Amino acid sequence: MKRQKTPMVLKIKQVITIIIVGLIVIWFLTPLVLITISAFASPSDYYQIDKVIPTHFTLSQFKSLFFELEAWKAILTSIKVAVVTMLLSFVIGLPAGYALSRYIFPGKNFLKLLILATRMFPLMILAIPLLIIFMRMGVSDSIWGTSLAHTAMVLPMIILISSSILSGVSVDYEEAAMIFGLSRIQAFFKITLPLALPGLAASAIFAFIISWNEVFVATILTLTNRTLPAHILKTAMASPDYFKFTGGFIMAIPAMVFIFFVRRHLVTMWGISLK
Amino acid sequence: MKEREGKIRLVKVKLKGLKKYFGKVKAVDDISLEINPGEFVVLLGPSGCGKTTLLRCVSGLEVVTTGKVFFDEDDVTYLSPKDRNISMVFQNYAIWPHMTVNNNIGFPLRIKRYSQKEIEKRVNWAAELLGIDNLLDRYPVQLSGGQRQRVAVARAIVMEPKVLLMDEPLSNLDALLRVRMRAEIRKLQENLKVTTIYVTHDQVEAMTMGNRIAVLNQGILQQFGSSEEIYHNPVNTFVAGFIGSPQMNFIEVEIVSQGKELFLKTKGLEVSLLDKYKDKVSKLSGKRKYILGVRPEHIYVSGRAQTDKVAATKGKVYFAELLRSDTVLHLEKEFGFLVVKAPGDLKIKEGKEIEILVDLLRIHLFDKDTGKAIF
Amino acid sequence: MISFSLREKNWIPYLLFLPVLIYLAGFIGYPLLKALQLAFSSEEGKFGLENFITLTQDSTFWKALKNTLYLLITIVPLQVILAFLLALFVNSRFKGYMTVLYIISIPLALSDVSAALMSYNIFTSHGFLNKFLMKFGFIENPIYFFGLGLSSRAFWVIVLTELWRATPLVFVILLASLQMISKDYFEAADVFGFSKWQKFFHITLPLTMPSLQSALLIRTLFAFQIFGVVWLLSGRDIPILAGEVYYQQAELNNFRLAATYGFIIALICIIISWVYITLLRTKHLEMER
Ligand SMILES: Nc1ncnc2c1ncn2[C@@H]1O[C@H](COP(=O)(O)OP(=O)(O)OP(=O)(O)O)[C@@H](O)[C@H]1O
Ligand SMILES: [Mg+2]
Repeated sequence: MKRQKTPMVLKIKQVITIIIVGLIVIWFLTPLVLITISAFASPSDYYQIDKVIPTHFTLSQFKSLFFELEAWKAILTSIKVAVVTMLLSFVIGLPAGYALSRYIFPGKNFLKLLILATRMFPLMILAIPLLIIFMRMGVSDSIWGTSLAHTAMVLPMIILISSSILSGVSVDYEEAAMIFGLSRIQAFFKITLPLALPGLAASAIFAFIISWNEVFVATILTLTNRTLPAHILKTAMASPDYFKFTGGFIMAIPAMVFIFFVRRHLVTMWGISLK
Repeated sequence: MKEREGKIRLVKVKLKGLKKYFGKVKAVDDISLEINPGEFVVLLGPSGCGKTTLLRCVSGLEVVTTGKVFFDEDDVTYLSPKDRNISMVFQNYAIWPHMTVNNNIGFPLRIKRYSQKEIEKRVNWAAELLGIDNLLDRYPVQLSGGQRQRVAVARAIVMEPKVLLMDEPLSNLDALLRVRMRAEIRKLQENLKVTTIYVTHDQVEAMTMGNRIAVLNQGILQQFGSSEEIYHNPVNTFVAGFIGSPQMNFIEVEIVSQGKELFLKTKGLEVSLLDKYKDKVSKLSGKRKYILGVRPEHIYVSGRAQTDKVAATKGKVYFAELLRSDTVLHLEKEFGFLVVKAPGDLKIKEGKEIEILVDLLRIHLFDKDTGKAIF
Repeated sequence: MISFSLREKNWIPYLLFLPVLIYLAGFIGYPLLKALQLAFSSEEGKFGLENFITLTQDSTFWKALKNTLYLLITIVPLQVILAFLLALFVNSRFKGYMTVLYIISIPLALSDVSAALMSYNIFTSHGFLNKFLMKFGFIENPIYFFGLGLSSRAFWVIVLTELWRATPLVFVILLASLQMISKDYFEAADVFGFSKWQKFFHITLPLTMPSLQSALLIRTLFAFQIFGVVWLLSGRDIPILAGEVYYQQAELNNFRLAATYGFIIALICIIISWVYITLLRTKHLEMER
């Protein structure tokens, strides 16, 4: 008779699982580990052809990147731009996400499609017209201009993700609150929002990350107030290789940290939103 | 389809010391049962008592903590569900959302390589039986709760399983449909003669459908027997109280002997014991506390008794529920309320004192501490 | 199901959408129209197809189109299959699967610039791969992956980098849909005698199909915008459509041609979406009451 699980089969299964996990970890982590090593490696080790793993480490690339090339300024700009983007996209996008999650109305699918459609264009071609608009508004070459452009890029994602997260909070709770005397708006702020907060915070972080990562619109829109990626693209790319690695490493740090904080919500965030 | 083809043997289902713990929760606690080939057994018990869990252990969806499950002499405890040749109606239906009703019912047959013609025949037969033949092309999202449930039942009965498991398959149907379905399922089972385990918490369903009933409470098997046994000879206060509506009266009493006679006595009621009970009672210790149990339908309003072996007492009507078919009287007594089920044509005003007669043949006595029945 | 059953003023959802619509109209719609106008205007500002004619006569355009399609048909299927396998694996919920989920997700938040630099770090002539192979005597001289005439090597480096960088997004989408399949459906399948494969083909696959399709669509659309990695690793040695937009705009300041390239990308994307949406429909979701 067939047994459901014999110890032998279980053991083989375990070994296979471990092997697959090992392969996954190697595949996904190797590039990260290697760039970390290269970011700190001394240039002479890098150019020594028979030295696979460098033995001398230095902070000199960081120093010159930060101070001589003034990356610290760019980092500050990047953070400001990302925060403004995050707030702006939430204030504007959350109501729409709520509408998508809670109402059925004529044109809903059309609006959803319209929002998705904005992702079909290479957003780079917007840069020049945007530059003209910002010059008229008097916000060209400022954190505001970049933030406004980034918000336009992030908005569709924020709307879809927040609607998926709000859909995860059952309408029943909200309706129950309304039966017990809260208004629709009170019910949202007292019941739904607290329940959805962790997920929404995670998507806010994503808005931050997208803005932090964006290079090309930022490059075109600014001259002096460059964000970090734009700055690195313009300076480090014209520098020796080891500067590039240090730059790449610095840009990757927030990504790794933030993903760690939002890892529980990754799946909910992307899950339903893309239906 | 009417008669089961002879080649499929009926199986006996045997559970031996079955336990299923979820951490500290003892969902099923040491249950042993033997179900005869072709028998219809009902699992009955309050919500959360472990009925579903027990069924899932039999189906193999749940891996038992300890104990064994046998189909005939085969130990199937660790056999995966698909190899057990069973079918099941799930409490939450679990009909597949991406298949039409037609496919939901027919797909398991396709898996078992039935011919297309046979599948069609069976699906139509089951759909007609359950009154869902007009819904065959719909998807589950387009069905009401009761309709989904009927699809789940249809899916289970088109198979030719060794064992048929049903978890509250009628819970979501309206009263009329439920009564009809009860009869249909019973008739179907009699025709197919498939060994069936049927879960319900509706005692009327249990009483009318099962060859035998297993009463569960808190994961423990309380009593396993025919509806008659369970109704007339409950083994403990739980079974006695759970079966029957309105609930059995429980009255704390003392045992008193006067000469050759034995009495069960409390303030406001004195019941003499018939000879057949005396043996059992005389051996008991006088120090312990006892509970007299008597069903409301075994207390008669004066003048309506069918027997003269009764104990008379009086009580004031506190409240009368007029159900028209019956009248349920709540009488105020020294020991609390006494519930009496009287005929519906009785005209009694609340506040009036009436005489009632307790049927001496139909009384039960329980040990108060253990709850076990003495008789 | 998800909507309020209460009767309410039906302009509320539109009101909630208004800020978004205004914002998008201002900062995407209007610039887009401007870009469109650019694409259809000649050097002197007259309306016409001049730019399109210029493009089709340029061999770079055809190369870019070809390369973009090559990248698309190499990367997208591999990515979706890989992501699906990963999602199935993680969904089996072995001990420590959360950590694996985290590790797989890291590239999700990396910019394409970072990713390209990481790849460059490995494959450049002084990179880890070459040093490693030389150290252990597999090769005498470094293998050059980047540079003129090496575009087929660079192509595969780009494919690898994109697989590394963008598979996690598909993975997360698919994992989410796997996790949403109720356990009950598999239990019912168990009871009714489905084998492992039958469960996969008749329950898992059809129920993840909508997500699989949207993942496929999204990846296809994004593939037309792959740019950062290609640009940093091979410059214009491997011309691609999105890269030409940047080149025309940022390096040559030829806004009209940049807009024309952009318009063509958008056109292809619209056609593909339309084909996807009309061809692939999931009945059991659509007919919801
Ligand atoms: N997966 C589980 N994990 C932990 N506890 C569980 C699990 N499944 C059931 N239980 C617990 O086991 C007990 C028995 O549950 P079961 O579902 O068998 O009850 P039931 O008799 O079917 O009830 P109902 O009539 O309400 O369906 C309950 O106390 C329940 O909380
Ligand atoms: Mg149950």
